[in-house]
Amino acid sequence: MRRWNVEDLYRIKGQTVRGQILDSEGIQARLTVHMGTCGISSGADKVYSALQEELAASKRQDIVLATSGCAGICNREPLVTVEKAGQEAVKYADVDVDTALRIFREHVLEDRLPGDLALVRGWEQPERAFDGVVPETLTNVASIKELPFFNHQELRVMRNRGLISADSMEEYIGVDGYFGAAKALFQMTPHEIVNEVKSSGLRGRGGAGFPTGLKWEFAAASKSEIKYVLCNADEGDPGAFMDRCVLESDPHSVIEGMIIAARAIGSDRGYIYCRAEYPLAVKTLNQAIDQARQHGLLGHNILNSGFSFDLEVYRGAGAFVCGEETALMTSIEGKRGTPRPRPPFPAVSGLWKKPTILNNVETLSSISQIILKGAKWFKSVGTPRSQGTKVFALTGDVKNVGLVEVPMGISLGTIINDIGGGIPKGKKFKAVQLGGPSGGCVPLEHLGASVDYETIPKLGAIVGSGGMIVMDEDKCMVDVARFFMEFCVDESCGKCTPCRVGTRQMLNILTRICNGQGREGDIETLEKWAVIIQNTALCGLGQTAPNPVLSTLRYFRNEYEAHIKDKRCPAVACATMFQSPCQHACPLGMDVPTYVALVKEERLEEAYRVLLRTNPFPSVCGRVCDHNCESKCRRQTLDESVHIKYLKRYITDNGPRPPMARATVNRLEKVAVIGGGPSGLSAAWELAQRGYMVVVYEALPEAGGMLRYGIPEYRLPRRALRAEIQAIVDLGVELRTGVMVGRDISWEDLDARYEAIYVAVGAQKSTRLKVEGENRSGVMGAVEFLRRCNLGQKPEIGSNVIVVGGGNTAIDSARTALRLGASEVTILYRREKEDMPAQEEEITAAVEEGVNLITLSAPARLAGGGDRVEEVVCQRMTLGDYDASGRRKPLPLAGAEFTLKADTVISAIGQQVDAGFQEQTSGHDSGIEFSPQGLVKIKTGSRTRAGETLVFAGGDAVTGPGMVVWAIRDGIAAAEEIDASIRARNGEPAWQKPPVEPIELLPPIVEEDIRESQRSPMPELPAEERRNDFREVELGFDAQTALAEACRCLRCDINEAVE
Amino acid sequence: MEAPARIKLTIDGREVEATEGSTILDVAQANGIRIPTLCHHPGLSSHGGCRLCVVEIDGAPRLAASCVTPIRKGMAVVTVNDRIIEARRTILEYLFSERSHFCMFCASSGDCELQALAYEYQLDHVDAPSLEGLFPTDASHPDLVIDHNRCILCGRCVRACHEVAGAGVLDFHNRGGRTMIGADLTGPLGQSTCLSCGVCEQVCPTGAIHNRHQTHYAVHGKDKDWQTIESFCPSCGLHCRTVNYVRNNHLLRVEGLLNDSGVDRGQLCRLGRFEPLMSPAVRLDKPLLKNESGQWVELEWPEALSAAGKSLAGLRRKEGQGAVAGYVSSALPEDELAGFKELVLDKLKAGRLDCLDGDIGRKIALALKQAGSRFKEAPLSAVAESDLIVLVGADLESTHPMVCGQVRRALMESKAKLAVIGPVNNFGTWAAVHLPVEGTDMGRALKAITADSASMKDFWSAWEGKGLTQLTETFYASRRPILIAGLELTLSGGVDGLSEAIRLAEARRQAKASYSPLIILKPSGNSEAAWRIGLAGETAAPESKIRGALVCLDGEVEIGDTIPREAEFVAVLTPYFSQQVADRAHLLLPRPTALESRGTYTGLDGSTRMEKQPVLKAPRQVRPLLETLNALADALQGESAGRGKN
Repeated sequence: MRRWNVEDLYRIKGQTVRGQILDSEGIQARLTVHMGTCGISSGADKVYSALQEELAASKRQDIVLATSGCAGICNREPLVTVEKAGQEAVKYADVDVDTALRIFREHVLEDRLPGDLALVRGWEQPERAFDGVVPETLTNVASIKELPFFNHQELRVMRNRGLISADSMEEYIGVDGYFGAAKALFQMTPHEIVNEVKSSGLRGRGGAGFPTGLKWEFAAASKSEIKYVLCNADEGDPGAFMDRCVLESDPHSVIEGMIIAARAIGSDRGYIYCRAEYPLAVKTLNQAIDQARQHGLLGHNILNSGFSFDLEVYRGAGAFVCGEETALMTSIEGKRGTPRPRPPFPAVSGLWKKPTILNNVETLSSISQIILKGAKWFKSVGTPRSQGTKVFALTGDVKNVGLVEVPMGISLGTIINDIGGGIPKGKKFKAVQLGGPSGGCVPLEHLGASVDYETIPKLGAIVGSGGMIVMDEDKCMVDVARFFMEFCVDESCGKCTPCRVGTRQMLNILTRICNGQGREGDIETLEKWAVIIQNTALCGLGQTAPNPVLSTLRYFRNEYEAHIKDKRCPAVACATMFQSPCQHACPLGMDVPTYVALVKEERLEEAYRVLLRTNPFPSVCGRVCDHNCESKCRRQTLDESVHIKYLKRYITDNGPRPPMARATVNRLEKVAVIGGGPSGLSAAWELAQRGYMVVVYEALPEAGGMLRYGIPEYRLPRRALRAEIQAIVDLGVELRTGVMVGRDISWEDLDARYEAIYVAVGAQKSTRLKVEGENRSGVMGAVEFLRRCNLGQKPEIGSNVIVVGGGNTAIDSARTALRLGASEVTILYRREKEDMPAQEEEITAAVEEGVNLITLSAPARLAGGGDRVEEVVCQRMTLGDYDASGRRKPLPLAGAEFTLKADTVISAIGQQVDAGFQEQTSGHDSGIEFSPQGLVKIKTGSRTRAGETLVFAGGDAVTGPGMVVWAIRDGIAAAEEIDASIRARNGEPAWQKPPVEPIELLPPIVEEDIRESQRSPMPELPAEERRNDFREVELGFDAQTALAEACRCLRCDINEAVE
Repeated sequence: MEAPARIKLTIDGREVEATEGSTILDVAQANGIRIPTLCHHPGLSSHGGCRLCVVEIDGAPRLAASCVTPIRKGMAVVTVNDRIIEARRTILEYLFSERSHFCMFCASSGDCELQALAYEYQLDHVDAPSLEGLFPTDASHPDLVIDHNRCILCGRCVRACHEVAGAGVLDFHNRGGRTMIGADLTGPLGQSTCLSCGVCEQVCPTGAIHNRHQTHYAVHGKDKDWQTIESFCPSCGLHCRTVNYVRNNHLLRVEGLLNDSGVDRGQLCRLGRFEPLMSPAVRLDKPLLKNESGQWVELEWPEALSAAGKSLAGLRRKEGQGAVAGYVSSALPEDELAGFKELVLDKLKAGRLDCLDGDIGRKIALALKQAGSRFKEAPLSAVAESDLIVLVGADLESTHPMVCGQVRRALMESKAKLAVIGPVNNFGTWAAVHLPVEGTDMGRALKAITADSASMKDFWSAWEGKGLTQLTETFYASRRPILIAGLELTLSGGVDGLSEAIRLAEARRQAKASYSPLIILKPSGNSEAAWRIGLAGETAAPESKIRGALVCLDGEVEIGDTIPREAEFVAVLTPYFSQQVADRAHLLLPRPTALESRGTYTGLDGSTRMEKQPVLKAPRQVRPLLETLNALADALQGESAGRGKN
């Protein structure tokens, strides 16, 4: 074949570009099937051959079928792009053989676009932007500029993605391929090339981020007849696949980069070290090398410039450590791939002891553009010290999985939530692992962090090669650390002791912790060893192996502690620690599988007894619990979780309440509980069962706290609550209502009379709005508003009610206001609906009832003629970058204000402990301290201890407004701690829980019999009927529904299915 | 090239000066600063794997392995502080936890670098749980045992096997915690190409590789209680230097002097390292005489000497001079050889004096005589300089393991080629060509390389397709070939075979070389000297007439068929009582072993001579050989005199 020179490049470029133009005279249409490994594994090859047959059958000569590499959005493969003369290109996603044929017939042949199948129209490459008129058939298809997955990206390394065929060198030349090399060979001295790369600021994209130009400068300065240019294509990080994509789709860009590098340092030979697990990449590379060699772009006298350079592919056998530069070189030398000490550095003594540079695929692929367009162009995006773009492999729990190329400096949140589309299945984001096993995780509070080489390391992670694994709330961070450590153990070459043994020792501890066998001191040992291994290991693999442990410890130490101290996995992922995820997810450890199974067997009294083992308020929880259990239910992997909460309610509504005997008082110590809410009553319930005499002081006329005076009756009927409180009184707990500590009884009195005090006063005071006009009448706090309603004092609210806030209290206030007769109830929320902390079903119910929801708005001032509020001047908000809550920060939109009429404004933006109580206790030597937010502080090392003496606290008073189940959990935990403290002081043995009677259940159904079935919806009163009174909205399951729902339980608590 | 610069740096606050390019460890050690190491060995290349030698440089958080870190001008090195000690202790702890290091069950307890470091760092317990999975113990080898459970993967054995032995038999396989030392990749050592040089055992810091000949560990005691005696091995004439570890006159171990500049680079072979530890037969510590009923009875020395004198002198008198003979092992040192010669010729006046390998000596001598005085044998160092090694009739692995190692090293390191002619090929596929000819065909094969095809027509047609063509091509493609003539060539190929080898070598002698590229192997380390002294004389009485003999062995346990079975009286001086010897002998006189003797030995090349001191003391009853020879001379004298008087 003829060898080319520079003139040929221009000629071929012209021919190629002309040949690709679609017009009515020549080629009418082109179909491109995207055939990277990702595409082929999803069936792109079958799509291609089907289209090939169809095209042949149509006998159309003016239609072209082409292939190209990965198009980026990997979880939507196979992708097919259709271009027609005079029309904008259209990309189809999730194409199979049938849809491909439909696309061919309807779009290509009949010009009838199957809009339902189309993903997007247009090309990502700006130079391919379509400036014509969009035909009518395409207007319903989203433009590439509108889809966040595409429009935040800036393609440079992947500039040719989806555009050219990897098999065609001409197509590469058609997009300016090899013009960079030509420029470097004919117009630049090696020194100039090095300087251009240096001033571009390009940093090695393989992981360490070392300045590429500097590396080249060192190698150029080394004196040797033989020098090597190596390309590291041994991509081995779990979850990273950008190099594979470049190699498969655009191999010539890497070869061109290597030619330029060779010219810069004076090398004449090189290797591409590519892992054997990338067969397509190896094939594509070899083919590209052959083409380049045949046309004189590799080998002797490239483009007749007098410069010679040749290279070959060396296949690595799949050792992660061979991605480390010295191990890679040892491997090319034909030896066992183990690292060797540096110095000497490869730039001085590398492959076969000759000066060598090693660059990553992405780095080399960037080079030709830098040479062609200049360092300034490269620096036009990025941050001052991290220039250009970076490709990330976005994977894990994220809606759009794929390769994304973004400018350096973009925020993590933008990549994950905008490009990635956020977390699927309505789960919450937890952390993102950057840099694979050498990197670290970045949690929610740093979603706003800029992605660059300075910021990410400060957070304890690394940019690395660009693996970005998104993890949702169901991922246990200890388990994640264990996973990565296991990877390092498997991949350690074994040469140096710290990496070979240290990683295994750390893995041992991590495995132990995940298995619920963690010990006191394990965290400290992990930290000590992590530092020693970092500081003493031979190569990068060992030195960075402890990073995932250190970073998870930095952000999720509490998860480690929960595993070790409480034997709990908060994410409910470490399966060896529990029988069933629902039970483990429940803060009270309720035995869900058993009571659900008992419902199925229609043994409701026994089921009720199971409920009462761990929860004094099952009926309440059956109505208002936030049901963590359901979010961890394994049934979700099949269809939807079991309606555990409603089954619980079904038991308490329909089962006979098992009689409970009065508890025997067999202890001398008396305990006082301040606050008759769920937390205080639960503490009393548990203490009474342990033989203590307990007195509960409640300031209001009736006990129940927020259950009684916060939650409206339409959600929690009073009879259900009263029955459960009565059961606690029946147990022997003394309840003194209408007694307020500080007013009716002094703290000193309590202190003197009781051995221990549990403070469960709740957060009874609404946080102020802090806007102008707040003191006008008609402005009130949500808690106060709801309390007055629930005391039966029907507050005057007028017809226009504005509720400010987005939590459950805001929704409760709005729905209550509606029932009190307001005609217009509006909720103002400063962020977006998705960001509202209220339970989703509550928001839906409120909107159904007619509550207006205005998001991205906040009150600016409250105005009125007299001292009454008459209108709310609202400020429109916009969302800035991510704040510490992991949500976009609301920022006032300058000049955008609007006014709402208001008779009443209810503030539901937060709650705190009543200031009166704060004064009461802080004046005395109770030892209680309050946080700046007005909440009780807990002493470190304890769960509920609040004072120096036996003073404990829990519930909303500590946590701020929270879910009832957590308040109950705090109460029980406080009771346990009070009992344990007293016993420890007396030198008594710990309390022994009385044994529970075992329950015999029928064997569960075997797996083959399980059929997909959706969960049963809760029957409700119709919205128009319920909005006028306080009748309970949810009607409860009937027996048939309950039975059907109970049958959906998979019985995860049983390890072996019965045949 | 200019000399490397001297640069200054500080170590532990002390300013020191050293040559650029040295490592921190080198400089520290040169200045008396101790840094612990395990994978490092002064005789081997650096590895940087164990990480025990970490030090702090310029206060950096990352510690550097001093054994591989070159010094830099002005660098400030700290070798000991709290965090360095903590790191080292942790690494030691890791090593102890990794596999089975229960010292009290280890053959190397008391003589283990890992154990010594544990004492030094006061590692009185290990927090890290034991990761021990059961690894195999490889006991397939006749001399060595590899217990992978005691291995710390320091890689010293691997480097020694590559760099010192040049064998490349040992290497790592698997990775991470599953890494193991494997022979010929993964195979057991016993079925590998291992030459049993034992250098791996010598460098192993723990009890992972130990030799099977050591007696039970309790006998060894601690290394500080040992005596080390430098000596050399007289086995094959290469005179490899040895260090002998002795406790209570008991030889525990023989080691080579790694870092030695000699051609062997300080390694030993099976003969030098393991043979001295083995006793080939029961030790003879008292004279024994076979009585009429064929049973052995102990004698006191005077009786034994007079019995020998009486019988031998009697036979000479009765049957004539030709009926008595003296045979000697050529492995004896020169003074003993000379003493024996004097005794046999002057005192016994025997009709025949020969050494056990006399046949070979005479053939070689004849061949050399025919070759003329211009011919000079090559030194062993020539092997490393050649590009083709031609082995003729040599079974190096059993007769000259060290030469075998030299050949391997040349193949591995200088990429020399190898051609094997003869029935035995020790090198398998490493040999570029193997022509399996036997007997006189070996000489013919050498001739066929150069001779015109007409004269060798039959031979060519027989071997053409079986390697002869390839052999010829390989030989002519080489620029610096060297021939090694083994014992088999001399024995079964005869003088003609040797002469062909000499002719071929002469033909390829380099223009300015002082020698011809041929090495002729001799049976023992001192054969050269024995023959020079004239112990393989040509003028000898026919063996058939011999009725009585005096034999002096070195450590051999057989005497072969040199002495006629009809002999009436055979007296043997030997350190051992072996059945084979006992069957042929009538009187056994104990003598010291080679380890217990002193003497002078001549090297393989015939020029170097070395004096050897005794390493062990002989048992009380065993007299030095020269003393016995003198006493025998007296006894013979007395016998002659006494008879004369009567």
